[in-house]
Amino acid sequence: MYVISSFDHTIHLELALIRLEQMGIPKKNIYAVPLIPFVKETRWFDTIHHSDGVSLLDTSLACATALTVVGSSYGFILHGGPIIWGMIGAVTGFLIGLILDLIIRKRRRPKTKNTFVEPNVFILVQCDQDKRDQIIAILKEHYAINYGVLLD
Amino acid sequence: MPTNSSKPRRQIANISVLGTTQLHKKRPWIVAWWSCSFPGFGHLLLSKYLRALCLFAWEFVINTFAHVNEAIVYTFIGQFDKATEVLEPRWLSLYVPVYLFAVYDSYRTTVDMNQLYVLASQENAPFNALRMNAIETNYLDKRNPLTALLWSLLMPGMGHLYIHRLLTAVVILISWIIIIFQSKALLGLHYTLIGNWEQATTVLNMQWFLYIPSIYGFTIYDAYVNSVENNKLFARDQNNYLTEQYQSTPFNLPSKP
Repeated sequence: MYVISSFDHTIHLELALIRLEQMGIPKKNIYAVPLIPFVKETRWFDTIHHSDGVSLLDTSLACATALTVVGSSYGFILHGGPIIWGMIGAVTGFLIGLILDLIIRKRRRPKTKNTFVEPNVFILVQCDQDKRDQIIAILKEHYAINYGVLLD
Repeated sequence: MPTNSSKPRRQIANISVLGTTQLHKKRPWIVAWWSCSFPGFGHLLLSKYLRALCLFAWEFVINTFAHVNEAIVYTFIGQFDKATEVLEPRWLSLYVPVYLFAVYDSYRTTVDMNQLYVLASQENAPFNALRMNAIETNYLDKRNPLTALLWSLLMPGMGHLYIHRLLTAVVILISWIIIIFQSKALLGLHYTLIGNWEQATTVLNMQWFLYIPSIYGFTIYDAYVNSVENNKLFARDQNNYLTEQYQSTPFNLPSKP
């Protein structure tokens, strides 16, 4: 029989594979298929498991820095002082950069469905029936996303 | 004995005890912009640390002696006479060429390194995922970009320690402490928080205070971007490992009876 599961790219995945080998599954009965995602959708922030290559912080932080300089300079003569005006500049710049980025992005990219395919890995394990529960326990312990069983 | 044929020509990354260095695609204009905001930052983004440090130190020295930041403030608030008065002509003309060079060189290098990235990515040569020596340990692992961002917000340099870029971390930390102290920013913050805005304005040192926006913004950006790229590198390395180790023998799937 086969136990099929999917993982994110983590150290835990490698630890799981080693645990499987230690419990007596030969390496030739374990197969890994790293998946390459098709859909690349822009997210507000990249997470630990996902990034879309173009960061939304690119333009926004550049603009924020520029406007903080302007804001804190004017702060020396404006009511409120350089710190408050600097922060106002930072927030304004960030938002301007963000809006610019989103406008450019909208123009460049066709609308895609809001489904996310994160790059992850399929692990296929060939084993005897009696080892099934033990394998599933190891997979679960090492944060496998999901699993399925295939009988032969 | 010539064994060069088996040696990788271009590796995509290097894990060393001082930090993880890697090639990844960058937008040349963004790198050029960070060089504009503070010469040296563009090169820090490119992991050209020695060059970056020289330019960074030079910017500090020349800007402080020529009073460029002060002049910027006076220019923005329309006091042009004051701006002319504070600028130090003995230093000022030394400022421009290096500044322009930093912008030009970082732009040019980004374009080059983007091409190198394509080549190295295709070659996919192996690299170490763990380095240890007597004083430090560095290894490839996942890092949360938002954690890097938050630590940088709290204290510039901490985000870089989190993603193990020691050189940037040390440079940013030391310069941040000097800037905060010299600009009296914390005093200014104190007066701002208790609502004493006139006092906040007078206590701040213009020249040093204007260093803060660029260094703060850059640190957050660099820590964030590098942790994202670090994670991509991890996935790439793991892909290579899994493909090599767990695909070498044919795998027989059950066929339908």
